[in-house]
Order: sequence, then structure tokens, then C-alpha cells
Amino acid sequence: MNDVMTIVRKELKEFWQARGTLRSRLLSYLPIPLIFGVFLPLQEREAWTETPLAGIFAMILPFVLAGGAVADSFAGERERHTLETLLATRLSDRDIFLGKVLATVIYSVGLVWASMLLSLVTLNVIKGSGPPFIYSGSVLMMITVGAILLSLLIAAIGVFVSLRAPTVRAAAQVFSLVTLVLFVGGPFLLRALPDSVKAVILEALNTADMATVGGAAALIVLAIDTLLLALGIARFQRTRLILE
Amino acid sequence: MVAYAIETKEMTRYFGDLCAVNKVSLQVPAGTIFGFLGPNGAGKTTTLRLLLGLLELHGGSATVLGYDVATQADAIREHTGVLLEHDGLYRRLSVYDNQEFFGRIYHLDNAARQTRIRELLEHLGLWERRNNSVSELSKGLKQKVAVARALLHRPSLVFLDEPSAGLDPVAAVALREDIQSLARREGTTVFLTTHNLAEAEKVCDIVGVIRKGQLIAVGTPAQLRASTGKPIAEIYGKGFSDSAISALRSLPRVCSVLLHNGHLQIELEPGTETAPLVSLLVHEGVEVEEVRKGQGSLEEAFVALIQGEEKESKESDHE
Repeated sequence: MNDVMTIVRKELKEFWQARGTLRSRLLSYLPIPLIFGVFLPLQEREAWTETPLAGIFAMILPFVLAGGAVADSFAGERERHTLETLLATRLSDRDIFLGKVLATVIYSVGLVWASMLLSLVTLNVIKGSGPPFIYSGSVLMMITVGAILLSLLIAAIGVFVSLRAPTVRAAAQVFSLVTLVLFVGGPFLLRALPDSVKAVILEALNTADMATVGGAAALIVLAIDTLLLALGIARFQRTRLILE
Repeated sequence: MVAYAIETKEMTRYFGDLCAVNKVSLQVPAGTIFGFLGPNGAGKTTTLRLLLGLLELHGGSATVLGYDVATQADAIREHTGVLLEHDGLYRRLSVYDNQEFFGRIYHLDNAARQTRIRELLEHLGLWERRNNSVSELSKGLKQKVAVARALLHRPSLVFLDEPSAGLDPVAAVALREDIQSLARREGTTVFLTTHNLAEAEKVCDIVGVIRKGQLIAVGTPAQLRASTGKPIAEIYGKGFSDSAISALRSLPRVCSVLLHNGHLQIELEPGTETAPLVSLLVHEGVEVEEVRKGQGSLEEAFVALIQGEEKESKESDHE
């Protein structure tokens, strides 16, 4: 774990330093907390904590945040000629891979959580007296578990794609294509199902409570995350990476 | 401690049909600076990658610091430091952060890491620039930072792939001196690939020459010079006339004579005495002031080796 954290620390430092001066860094990172922690909560007020709106944003944001960072992981190291030196160290293949994934998840989830926490502070500061704004249980689950699982999903896909991509641009292009297939492919797949299967799914969704549906969805995403991580670790072999 | 830091037996690696490293058998004694010389595409970098376990062997065997390349590559990487073809530094991070990252990789504790980073950066004259981003440094300084990184965890063996490539002469000399002094001080074995034969001659205890994947010569620079380079006599004086030079050229054991910057450079067959040459010149009216005798440079020996091998392979192809 120590070695994984060494990679995580370096990656996060690189994310931060990549933006250049302090002003550029603030201009890059502040818009997300300002929009999702101040602007939107002020627009929505009670709806921000009482409806699933904040939870939905918390689960969409990882696609943007993790997606932007993850293409750089291995393709960036290859492009900047640091990969071979990293592979020539004592770090194991597994630790390097997991370090890259975890760094992306921490970066993405960290910004999401910071924004959601800031939104509560914003709402409660302007509210004054009365019971405080807090997230309902299901929204809290979306913000915590949902954001982690989806960040992990994006990070695992992105690192997997970035492993063999020659440049950051190539990795970003393939990654965009994969996420597009995920978004567009899901509804197409549902439409292609036989009517009888669609009816069963619809009935299950109508009758089951949202907690059960959410739990099932979380389990499915967790299974995909685990599968992608296992595939990524199996695919990460330095003796093959060095040739590409 | 092992007697040989590196020992290979018929080490072989193919890329498709191309045999990039062809049955290379090599022994590098511990504590020496070994220069691995060869033209572009000779197999130097592939050899280095094989020794680090970054590529799989297709034949033969190799041990590095007593660890088997095929089965104990992790242990090899634990005990070695590298400066590969590219410096491998993180441009966005500072000089110190780069060292810090690699110090953590090698599990140096906080106090040991800070002390060691300071020691190396001060030795290399980089301590004042520790907070500079690597992207702000010149190529020469980047190479120095990369050398410090390679030595940070006090490895028993350091692989340096063309460390002075792209450096101006002053920076190259400074880097060469740094590598030499650090390696000697810390008793580190250095495996150095280079194109720079003057550098190899000054720094290396032993050199190996590789061509088309095959190791064609190994020895000390002096041994290589003696085995391939012809003795050279340099004669300083006045009155080097055309007739004196023609007379020298007519001698049976004189290979070539060149009037260069007011003095004669005479290439001789091995074992040729210089006294008769001096007598001849005096007889021709030359005022001889000084005579120097020595071997040709490692560069000449290297060129002779490579050209000799090429000639042999062409002849065998012809047959």
C-alpha cells in the first residue's frame, strides 16, 4: 500500500503542478466548487437537498473530472519519456497500476465531495435560523458511494485505454469513444431487448423501492469496476509496455 | 558481495527476425566502470533493457548482482539505479520533488531521504536550484538531476545510457567528472553505454564493443588500443622537407606519414623502433627537437574493430 500511495502522491502533485502558476491553478479548479457548491445550490435552495439533484450531479461530475485526468496517466508518461524510468524501478506492476487509478479517483471524488460540502455550507449560511439543510439518505449515498463507484469506473476504463495509447491525445480520443458507447449503447441495448424482457424490467422498477434499485445498480457498477481493474492489472506487463 | 556485478552467457534477444542481441557473453567485475560501446542500432539499449528485466530473454542467461534476470528482475531493479536514454524526470515537478518521489519508491525514511537528497544535490551544485521546476533547467542540469536520482538509494550498480548525449563539451566533462567521483566514492559499479569514445577512454576501467548484436571485443581501453590501434610517433622540429617525408614513407614499417600543425604524425607497424626514423630525418637535414611515441586512441581502435568486423562479414557473405 505504501508503494501505491507513493504513486498517488506523485500523481496528485503532477495534477496540481500541471496548471502552471497559482492563478492558473485556481482558475482551473475553482469553477467546479463555485458552480456546484455555491451557484446551483443558491438557485435550487430546498430542492438541492430534498431532491436527487445534488446526487445526480455528484455522479455525473466524475465523468468530466476523472475523464480529463485519466488519459494522461500512462500515455502522458510515455509521451513525456518518463514511463521507462518508472518501469525500471522496484515498484511492482500492480502497485503502479493501482496508484494511477487511485490518484484519479481521489482527485475526482475529492472535488465532488468538496463541492457538495460547500453547497451545504452555502445553503446553511444564507438560511440563518431553522433546521439545517442536510442531504437525505439516498442523496448522501449517491454523493458518497455513487461518486466513488463511478469515479472508479471511469478511472479503470481510462487507465486501461491509456496503457497502450502512444499519446495523451490518442488516449483521450479512445476514451471519449468508449464513454460515448457507454452512454449511447445502454439505451440502444435496452431498446433491442425483447418486449417481454422490457416489461419485466419495467415492472420490477415500478414495484421495487428506489433503495433496492440503487443498491442493485451499485452492485452492478462495483462488479464492472472489479472486472476492469482485474483486466487492467493482467494487461499491465512492463515487458510488453516497453515495446510500445 | 558478488565478484561480477553482471554476468551473461550467450544472452540473446530477437525482434521478429532481427537478432538484436546475439549470444552475448560478458562479465563485469563489481566496482568497475564498464563502457559499452557500439554504433547506432548495435544492441546497447536492448542489452541494458534485458539486464534490467524490462525485456524477456529469448536465449542464454544473465545474472545481475547475483540475481537471475529471468526470474528475479524485481530484486535487480531494487538494487540498481538507472539513467536511460531519456532522463525520465517529471518536468512539472521540482528538482527536489523528483528526488523525493524516487526516494520514497526505494523506501528511504524521511530523515535518510532528506539527508541523501541534500548530499547529492550539493555535490552536483544543484542544491540552490532544488525548488526549480525541472522544465526550467538546461539539458546538462537535467542530466545531473537524473544522475542524482540514479544514485539516490545507494545502488550497487548503476546503468547509464548515453548520459552525455546532447550535452555541450563543458557540461559533458562536468557530468563525466561527477559520475566518476560519485561512483568511486560510493563503490558503485557503473554500466555505461556511450558513443563518446573519448569519454569512455577517460572514465571506463573496461570497455566492451558491440556490433550488430554481437560482442566483438572486451578489455581495458589500453588493451583495445594495443590490439587494434597501431603505434604512433610524433616528431617535432624544423625543416620537414618533401624529400624527408618521402624518405620516411619509403621505409617498410612505416604505414603513413602526415605533416600536421608543424609536426610529423607517423603511424608504425607494432614493434617498430623510432631511432632509425630520427636518424633518417637528421640525415635529410631536419632539426629534430622532440619525439613522442604512443598508441592510437580508443576511437581509432573502435573504428578499426567495427571496420574489421564489417570486412569479415562481407567476405563471409561473399563466400
